[in-house]
Amino acid sequence: MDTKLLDQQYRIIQKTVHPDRFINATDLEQKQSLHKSTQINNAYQTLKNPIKRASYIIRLYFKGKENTLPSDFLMQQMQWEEELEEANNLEVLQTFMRKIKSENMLLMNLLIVHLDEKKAWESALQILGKIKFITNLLSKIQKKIFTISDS
Amino acid sequence: MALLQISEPGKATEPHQHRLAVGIDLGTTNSLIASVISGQASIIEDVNCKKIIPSLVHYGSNEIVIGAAAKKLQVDDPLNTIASVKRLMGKSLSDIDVNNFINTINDGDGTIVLKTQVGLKSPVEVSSEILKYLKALAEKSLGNELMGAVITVPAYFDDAQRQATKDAAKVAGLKVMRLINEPTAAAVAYGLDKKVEGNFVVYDLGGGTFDISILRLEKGLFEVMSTHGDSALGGDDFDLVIEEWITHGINLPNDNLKIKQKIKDLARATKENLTKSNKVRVHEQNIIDKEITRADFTELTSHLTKKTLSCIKFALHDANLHIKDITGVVMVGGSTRMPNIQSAVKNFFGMPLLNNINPDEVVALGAAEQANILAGNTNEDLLLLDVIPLSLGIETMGEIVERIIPRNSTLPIALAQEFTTYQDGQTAMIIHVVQGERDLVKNCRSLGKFTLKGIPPMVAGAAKIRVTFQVDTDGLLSVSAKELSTEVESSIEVKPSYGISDKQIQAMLESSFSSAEEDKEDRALAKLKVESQQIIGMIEGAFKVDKALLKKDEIEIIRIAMDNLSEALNNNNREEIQKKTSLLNKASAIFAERRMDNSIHKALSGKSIDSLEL
Repeated sequence: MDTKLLDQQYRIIQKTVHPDRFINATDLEQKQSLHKSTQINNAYQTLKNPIKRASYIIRLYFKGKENTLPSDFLMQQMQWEEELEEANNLEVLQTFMRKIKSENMLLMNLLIVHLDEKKAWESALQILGKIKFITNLLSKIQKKIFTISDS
Repeated sequence: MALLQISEPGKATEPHQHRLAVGIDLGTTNSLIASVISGQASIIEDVNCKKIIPSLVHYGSNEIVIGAAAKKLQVDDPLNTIASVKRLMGKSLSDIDVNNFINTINDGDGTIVLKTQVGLKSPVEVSSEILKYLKALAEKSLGNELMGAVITVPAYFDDAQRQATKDAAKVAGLKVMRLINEPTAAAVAYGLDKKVEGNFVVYDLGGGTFDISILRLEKGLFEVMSTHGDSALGGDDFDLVIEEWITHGINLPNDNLKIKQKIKDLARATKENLTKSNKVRVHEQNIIDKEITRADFTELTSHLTKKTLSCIKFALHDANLHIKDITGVVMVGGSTRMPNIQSAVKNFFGMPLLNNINPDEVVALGAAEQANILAGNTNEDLLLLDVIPLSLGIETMGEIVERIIPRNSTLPIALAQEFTTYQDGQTAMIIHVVQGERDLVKNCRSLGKFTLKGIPPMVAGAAKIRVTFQVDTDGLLSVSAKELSTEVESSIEVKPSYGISDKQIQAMLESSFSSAEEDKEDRALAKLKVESQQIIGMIEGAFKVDKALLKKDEIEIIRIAMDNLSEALNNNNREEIQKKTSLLNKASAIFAERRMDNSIHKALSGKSIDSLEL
């Protein structure tokens, strides 16, 4: 996706509809502007963030229920959480971070294959579930790195 | 922008009419008001040519005195002089430590009231006195009535505190064009000054709070990327370190308040002197006589400095940026005058800091620039996009918070959540909204309880109620709900945990006019008539440009609604005019929406031709 074009279009639309442009308008116009501006913000966030974008695309085609994550992944989750708990110096944390990041890359590539080539929405949704967990984990690792490097 | 702005009949004859708009820095200790005058933002001075106005309100038996004059009265009459009212805005008695306040603070049914010799005053009323004073000052100086104001609030202010600030303005008869965050206002002042695009960090260290904001200025869009901070870290903590250094090793009687105050003053003076000199002799008869160097002070307070730097790291992380991406660092707040802070921040970013605008004035100046833009006085094509500083969530089972709108989301934002009933025939439900980053309800700020009523009775779990949480550009929350299977709009009753009701605001407003009942009625009718005429005028104008967007029968419906309203305007019946106005609004909603969409299309198609040329 052309993110530069997305940013550019977002700016143009927001400059047209934002409530700041309607300070002296009627109540009705102000309400409309608030509504449109909100809609544009939501759309922009959805398109900009690859996870949200993938989730949105899947939901366009697949209305079924989300399957729970496979049990081997749940086991893996617990193992990672433990690893994070025990990691208490910068070096270990950074190595762990690299490992999770490469895991994330693998899943992202897998997601692209399932979305763009196979159009296998249901399995794409499951991969997305895994990516969401990993994204969350990455931000936890980052926070811990900050805390440790400060003390 | 021009596409949507329709000239108002009668007003369009003066295309360059300058609308008077001000920026107000409504501070805890001091307030400032500024306006853009002949293209330049400047602070408006009081009668004694002072720019800084103490945020003090003295309630005398006959008159209310504000600012420098109140400061003089405070010495002899501290109990009737209200100081630091900002700390009480949007708070309840349980949120504050009454021992920190000289004034008598009482519980006013959940909210706070202050005791004065002329009765109980709410923080909103006290704050509105300051705003009234500032407004009068500006109107006298600028020579005309103000159109509106941009008021700044600390970035960490929650919904209740923002609402209270807006209420105070309402009571003061001041139209709030926008509430903006203090660091954002400072960034606007620098951004417009420098005309440089890029990512800016605002480092705001005040007396008691610390805020970090990261903003991006690009192609006329000023976007807040993230905010972070510590609402319990400020210059006072640096004073405290020196206090401890002074008292270390000496035994002081615990109950001697006079000596305590003396040491407090000495500590502050020492800190301030260390800004100018490298070495300071700390001397107080019978207590202390030793020297402290700037290096000592830097060392002693390094943990505090470090704390602020780690906030920067979090803010950068949230904004998805690295140090190398930062174009400029803006320093705001009196405490950034400390050389150790200056050098620590400079070293952290590896670049010179932006500190050439007076840190006491920069917030008001930026607010004035923004007010000028909002009023439409400038060709500056700048749009400011701010974020919500604290996450919004709702209470779920086990008093756990479920996050609905995450912090640092760009405003305005709305999110919908579906709820269901858990009992057969249930027709009402309570939603508890909280604000904060913690997982437990008791650790967050309760904003209010929303009671959904009028849910159609169904078996448990069958009703699907979609609740929409909308946060507007001032960072204020509103909630609406709809039952999905029946499309029934549920009514919502809001019981704010803090703050005051619209009815109370109305009462305060009316008490400030000492006029008779029919006067009020007349004023309200006149105001309504003007507004209704404006709506008709706007639609007439829109017809001239965009009639093609409507089908024949759609035009017909709007015409009928317009005629009905015009007819109602001939009779002086307020209710009737109100009813017809809202009918016209309903009829023309589709027109307004299509015009908005049309303007988006035009803006996009116009710009993509430009981009092809590049």
